[in-house]
Amino acid sequence: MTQPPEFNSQPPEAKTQPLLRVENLAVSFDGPAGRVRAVNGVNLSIYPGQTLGVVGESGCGKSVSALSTLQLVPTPPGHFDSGSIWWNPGSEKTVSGTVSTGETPGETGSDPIDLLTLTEKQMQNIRGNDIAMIFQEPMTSLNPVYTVGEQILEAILLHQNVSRKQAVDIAIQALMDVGIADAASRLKVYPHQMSGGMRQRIMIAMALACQPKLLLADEPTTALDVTIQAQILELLRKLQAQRGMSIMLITHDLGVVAENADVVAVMYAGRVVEYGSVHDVFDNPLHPYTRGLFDSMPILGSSKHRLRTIEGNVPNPADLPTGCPFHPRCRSFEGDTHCTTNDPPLHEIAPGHWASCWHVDGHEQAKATRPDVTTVTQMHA
Amino acid sequence: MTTLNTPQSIINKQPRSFLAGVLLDMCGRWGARVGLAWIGLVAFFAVFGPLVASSHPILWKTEDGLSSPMLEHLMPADVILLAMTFVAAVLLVCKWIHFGKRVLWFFAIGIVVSILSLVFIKPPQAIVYSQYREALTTEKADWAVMTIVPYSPTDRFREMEETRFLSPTSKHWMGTTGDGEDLCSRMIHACRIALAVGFLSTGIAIFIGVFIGGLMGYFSGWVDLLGMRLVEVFSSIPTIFLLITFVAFYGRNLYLMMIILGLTGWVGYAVFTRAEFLKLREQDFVQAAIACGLPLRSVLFKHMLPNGVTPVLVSASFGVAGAILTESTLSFLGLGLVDEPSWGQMLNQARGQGGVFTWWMAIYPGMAIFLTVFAYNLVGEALRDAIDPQLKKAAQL
Amino acid sequence: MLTYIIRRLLLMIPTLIGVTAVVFFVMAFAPGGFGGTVLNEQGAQTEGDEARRIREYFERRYGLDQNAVVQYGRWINQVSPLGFLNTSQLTYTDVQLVEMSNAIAADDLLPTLGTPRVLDDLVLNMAKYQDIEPVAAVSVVRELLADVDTGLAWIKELSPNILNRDIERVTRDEVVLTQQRELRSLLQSQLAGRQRIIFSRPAIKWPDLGQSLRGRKVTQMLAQAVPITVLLNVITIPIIYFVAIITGIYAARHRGKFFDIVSGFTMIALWSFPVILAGVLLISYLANKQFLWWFPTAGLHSLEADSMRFLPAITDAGFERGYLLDAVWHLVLPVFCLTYGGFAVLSKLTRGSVLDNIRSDYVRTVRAKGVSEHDVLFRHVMRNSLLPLITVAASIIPALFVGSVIVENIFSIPGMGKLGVEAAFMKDRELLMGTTLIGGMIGLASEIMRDVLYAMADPRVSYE
Repeated sequence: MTQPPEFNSQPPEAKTQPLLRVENLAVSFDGPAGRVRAVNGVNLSIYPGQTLGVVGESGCGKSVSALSTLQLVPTPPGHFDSGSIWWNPGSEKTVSGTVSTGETPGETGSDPIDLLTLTEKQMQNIRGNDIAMIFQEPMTSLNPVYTVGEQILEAILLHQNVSRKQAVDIAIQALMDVGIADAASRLKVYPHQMSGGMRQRIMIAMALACQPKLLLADEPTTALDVTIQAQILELLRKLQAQRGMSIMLITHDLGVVAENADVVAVMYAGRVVEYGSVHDVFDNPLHPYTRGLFDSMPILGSSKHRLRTIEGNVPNPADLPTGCPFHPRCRSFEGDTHCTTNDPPLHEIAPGHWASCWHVDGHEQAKATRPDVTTVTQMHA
Repeated sequence: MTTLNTPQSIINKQPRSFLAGVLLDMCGRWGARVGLAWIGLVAFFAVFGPLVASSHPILWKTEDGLSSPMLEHLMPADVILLAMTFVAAVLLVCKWIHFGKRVLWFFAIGIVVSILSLVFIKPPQAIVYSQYREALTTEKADWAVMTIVPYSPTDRFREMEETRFLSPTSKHWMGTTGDGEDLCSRMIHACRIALAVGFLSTGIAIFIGVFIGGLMGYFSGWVDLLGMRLVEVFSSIPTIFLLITFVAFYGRNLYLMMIILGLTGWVGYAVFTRAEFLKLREQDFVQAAIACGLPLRSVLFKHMLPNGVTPVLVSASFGVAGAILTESTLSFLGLGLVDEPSWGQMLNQARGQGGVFTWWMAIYPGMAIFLTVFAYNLVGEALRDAIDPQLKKAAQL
Repeated sequence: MLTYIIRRLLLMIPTLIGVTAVVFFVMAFAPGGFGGTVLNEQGAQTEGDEARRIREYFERRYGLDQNAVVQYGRWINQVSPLGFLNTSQLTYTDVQLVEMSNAIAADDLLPTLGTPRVLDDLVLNMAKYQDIEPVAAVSVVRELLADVDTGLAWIKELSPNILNRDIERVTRDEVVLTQQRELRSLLQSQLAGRQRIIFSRPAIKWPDLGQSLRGRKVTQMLAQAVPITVLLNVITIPIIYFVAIITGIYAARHRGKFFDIVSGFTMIALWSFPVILAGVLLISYLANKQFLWWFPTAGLHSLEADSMRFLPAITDAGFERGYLLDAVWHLVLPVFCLTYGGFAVLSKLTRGSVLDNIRSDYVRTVRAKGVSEHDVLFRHVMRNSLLPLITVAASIIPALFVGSVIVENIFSIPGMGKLGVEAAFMKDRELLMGTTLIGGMIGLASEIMRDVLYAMADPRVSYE
């Protein structure tokens, strides 16, 4: 049940198998208040060429999910409790030799690999090569003491078997791809000499220089001006169309998701609460939290519309409410004991549209018994 | 899936002021506890030194009847210290009086006690230590109750030549000096100098530093420019030479030394405070205070100073350690006090007199310097560690 | 960058003036002053005439009888490479000197008052003092000597605190000629060494740090002492940095583990350990006939070091340690004393800085690129972590300077620290001022060096 397999909106050529499939991921952190779950049983899939938008308030676990994909969660204090992240590149580029032989004996790269079980060394081959990532803070995400060129070259030389001269050409091409004029001379520039938008372009160029299959974009436009935001998103769309890569777009901005994503996952308190195609979710939000998000979004031009806020605060992950973690803030909550005692599982309400709420129609049958997450996952796997 | 053990609730702590939080956090660290314990011990000896180590009997019976030579020989400084410690202890207990009021009382009593002691306490000028020993051996005195260490720091055992350069024995716990003085007694009496030098010189340095730094940070402009030149000059003077010059030209005087240590040591505090005030000046609550039309005095001392003074605390702790080291160094170089015992001066006497090395004269005072400096540095480290997360926490709020 | 350095160098000048002024006036306002002009009047009775004359010479030479501000101005002029000439720096051609001697010999009064050499001296001093031609000085001297009263008035003006006893010696005498002879010798002693700055003669000259009370040139003494102190520090600084960086990085990588805690604690302990105790213990136990005599007790070289070959060698006479090894052997204990206390601050700084950088955003980016942990640490984190270490270098150097004062005094190394302490003890003004000046210059220069290094290491900083 927790494995959303097919979507109506899914591009037909990608129907085969998901590129990345996050299964039941749980990550916790050791902090002053003891061990705290940041991600609690997250399930996601991304198909080739698709853009998955992950939405949620800060601290809901979206960034941690993305970082876990690349094993970039610092351990300690981070700790993987359960789950797996299946990577299915489907073609030969990936894991030249090292990984495929180690993980799936007998097969040649077409079988999925669990990224969480890879060693650091194997992981280094995937990072930046198959899966690249860009971050929220372009101002601090580049090493201040090296030139932009050196930092892009580092990635290229690491993953591609080319000479330095060829690598420079690739880097220049990458810069031109992200719309930087005068690319050759920009290579010699230090990050601090560039504007925020420019740096984010550099980050994208660096991430895309090795032609990754999947780009994890962790709030790539949050720190930028609105006009620059639009440019960067436009750029990402264009590059995605050119290269046919998948993007996991993490953001708290519903507008960004509406314009860029094919599929949306709404996260709350470390779990996915609603999942579906962008049309389904935006036209017919099922989960009260998603509905609350839409209500709190201003609509341009309608002055009479009064914004409604979601009351209360994001729960402290060290002190989650029992049952459904959203129930203290939920408008549908009517003192139902189900809500306070049982955590609702993600359930397919309509074809390709999933939500985890006891109050949504079609969830009634699940109310009786809470299905065991692990067995269901195994069944699907 | 592994089970989760999330704590059911976070213990809600009572909100405390930033400074109190830092101090509490610091005291929770064992390094600071050890350091504070040692400083406490040194402070104890600084106050009660004359009662712990003295050649004068606490109480004895002679033909003239019962008397207490020890009390008769207390110096005004001893009396002031003892009295003020007592007053401080009493005031600490009086929790119902407002804190500021108690501080005021303390200083008021301090002034009165100081004047009274300086006027009325006139200990005998000529001290003959051997009289007690003679009296006891010749049975002029029936009995005498001695202190724990029954020797004064300047008791040279004039009547007994053989007490010079004695290695530690059961009689002289830490041996004797080249003049026949008991080392243990000197060590105890030197605590006062070590403590006083640290506190007073750092106090002076902080006062000047915070004042100049605060002005520089608040006014900036030409005040800052002028101040920075002054800072530059004072940070480029080889301090040790200046100190040595001072002492060599103006003679040996403990108070002078403290003042000079303070006068040369303010630079660091000024730079810290300036940076802090520059930051604070831009902050909204200061802008708000200025916008409210509060007088400058109030803005500077009520709103900015308490917020800007925390980093000064850390360097103050290191500063005390540095001052103690410098004092002992000067004493070691032979520029210290002549009569009053000081750890550095004792260490200096360990070597010399024909190249003969007397280990007890080096180890005991040397280790005392080391432990005291170590204690202050541990406290400083703990303070810094305590401030760091606090600063981060404060920044998040 | 070059203009920046030049600007900084020029800015050193006012600071150095401030530095020397502080030290100078500390000495000037001390009871007794430098040479003790106050003592002069009371102490002269007990002092030998010769000693008094020498001291008076020095006082005149440095203008100690003038007020402090004037004295300081004189000192600055003397030190500055750009300044006004001093009367003592005037030189005359042989022709001028011969003309002068002839004029003296041709005079009717002068030759009766002393030997030609003495008179030459007197006239020359007068010429220098008044900055006039030697020939013209002859007539001035003659006038003064001819009339005792004007001569005495002039002497009084030259040195206001001249002893009445000396004046009386001249006036009480009945015989005119003897009177004039006495006047001559008095005039000569007053003129000898009397310097006047000639404001009409600005010049570019060699800085002159003056003459120590011990009679040697301060420049010479410092030229011997400074390299020794610098050598000590040049050996010490790399050792401190090397050890601190290694332990700092190791502690950061194993944060909270055994090594981290123990090294942190040990280093604070070492930092707190007084150099005087360490020095005394080392020299007493490892360089003492009483215990172990493994190391030399004093100095930087053995007496016979100059005759040694440079490198160690095995000759017929057995093993010969050579100049280099001899120096190393002498340096072990002092360098140890200087280094051990420096680890703590730097190591803690390295550790904190590495930890900050490891958690930073850019390192996450680098990891996301697939760079190996080793490269992350040594290519990216290291370079950024070392930046704060450059900043503290400037505060390390003065600290080491203090350290070398102690170490040099314990191990009798004839460096700047020892020289400075001795100068202070002897109230040797010129030497103390020279040492302060050089010490201040080293400190300021190290600050400039730090800023330049920082600009080179961190591309974000530029001084354009």
